[in-house]
Amino acid sequence: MSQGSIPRRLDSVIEIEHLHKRYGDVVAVDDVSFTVAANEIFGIIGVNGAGKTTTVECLTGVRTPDRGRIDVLGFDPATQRDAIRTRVGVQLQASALPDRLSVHEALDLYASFYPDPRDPDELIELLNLSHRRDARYGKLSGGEKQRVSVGLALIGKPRIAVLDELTTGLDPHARRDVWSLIERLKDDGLTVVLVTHFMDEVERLCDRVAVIHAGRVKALDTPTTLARPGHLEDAFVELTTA
Amino acid sequence: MNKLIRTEAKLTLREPIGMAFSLLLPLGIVLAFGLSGSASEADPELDGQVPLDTVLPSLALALSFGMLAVFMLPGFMADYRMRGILRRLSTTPVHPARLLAAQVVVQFVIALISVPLVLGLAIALGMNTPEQPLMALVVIVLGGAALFAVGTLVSAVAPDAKVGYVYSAAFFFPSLFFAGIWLPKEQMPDWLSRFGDFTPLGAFRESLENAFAGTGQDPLMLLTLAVTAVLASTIAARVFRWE
Ligand SMILES: Nc1ncnc2c1ncn2[C@@H]1O[C@H](COP(=O)(O)OP(=O)(O)O)[C@@H](O)[C@H]1O
Ligand SMILES: [Mg+2]
Repeated sequence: MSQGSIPRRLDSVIEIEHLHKRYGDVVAVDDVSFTVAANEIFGIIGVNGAGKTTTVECLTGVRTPDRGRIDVLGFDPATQRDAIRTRVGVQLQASALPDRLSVHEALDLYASFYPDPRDPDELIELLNLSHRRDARYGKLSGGEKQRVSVGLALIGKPRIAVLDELTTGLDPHARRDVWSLIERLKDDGLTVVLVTHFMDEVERLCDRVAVIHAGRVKALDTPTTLARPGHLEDAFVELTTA
Repeated sequence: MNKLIRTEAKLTLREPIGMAFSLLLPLGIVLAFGLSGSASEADPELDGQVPLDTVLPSLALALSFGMLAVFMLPGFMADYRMRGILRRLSTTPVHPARLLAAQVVVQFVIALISVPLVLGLAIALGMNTPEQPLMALVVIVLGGAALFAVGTLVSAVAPDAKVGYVYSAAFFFPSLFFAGIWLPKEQMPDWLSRFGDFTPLGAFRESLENAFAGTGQDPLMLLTLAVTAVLASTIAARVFRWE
């Protein structure tokens, strides 16, 4: 494929071209290309081991690609990590805070890492965690932990939020809380890259969705173009059955 | 960075058992041996030294610095690594190594707190006040730097808590032997005793004893501490990874 094959969008904030990443002999990402527009909620779906996490880790500068070009807000995540880290908020798949740290302490600590952070208490309010402000992280429910994790991704006033398996392990109520939070953030101008396993989440939140399979993009379109409402899962299974 | 240090201090205080153990065990040793009258008498097995003036307090301090630097510090860091906290930090503008630095500061301060505690108790039991307090301070800073550099190195290279513990134990228990905790150095063959002088814990304890007793320093031992501090921390900085 030639370099010019990816349609460029004037307002794109993320451009990935022919990303390739392997761990030893394991090819985690074979050849992935896509662009994400400003203020878009961009979904990434795929079976376990498809290469979703590796892809977003490359675009946040946590991992260095073996091949390919990545441009995030005009920066190269592999070489301009500091620029990326102040502008891109990341929510990681695994929970990652000491059990004995309180919700407010955690957000306050992470706020101190950024040049122009949000107010921790306002964010706690936005996350619906005011009643748990001084609770220890280890004592929170799964949904509460997840919301703290989203909070950590947003505390630095990022232009882009990368959320990996945002609602995995949440009950239906907690999932809907997190969804409305994401919608509110989109209204404020945030761009979101959302890795998920849930088709209803994609249909509700995502402007476009990439189906990644075996390290390649199998399909990329709006959810309604990929399948009739409610039938995205069938389309997904069909796309990802070898 | 200040907030990171304060947060680590809070977290350490919320998990006080390890810290309390590192502070109380040395006091317990001073108390247990210091209370027996023989600790205040010249001991022919120690070439006529008075244990309470020399071996006992320096050994207790070497123990608390050693435990905090070589076990507590790598323990916290391994836990942070395992929980993905270092990985999480690597997505923020703050490098995970800063968390390691904050932990070093916190554990070092706790170790420093053990100095007045141990000396206070020893003096209450009849220890001569240290002859060269300034030199003692220099030795504490130098020896602390050496031991915490070793702890940092273990934190940097150990993939998980278990392996880290093995590394720490492999360093610490032989070190205790060379520092003379099992067998007084005066009873070791000369070559063994001399070798022990060039292990970080041994050099630390011996130099500390020299400062307390005012017997003059062996520059080679101080050099051992400085070289360990520089070498171990340089290697640690090179190999430190967040996963
Ligand atoms: N740190 C790693 N070391 C070795 N292999 C890895 C590592 N991370 C992921 N992989 C492998 O790379 C492939 C893609 O993984 P990943 O990007 O996590 O997929 P997904 O997030 O879609 O489940 C899988 O085969 C996985 O086992
Ligand atoms: Mg994943």
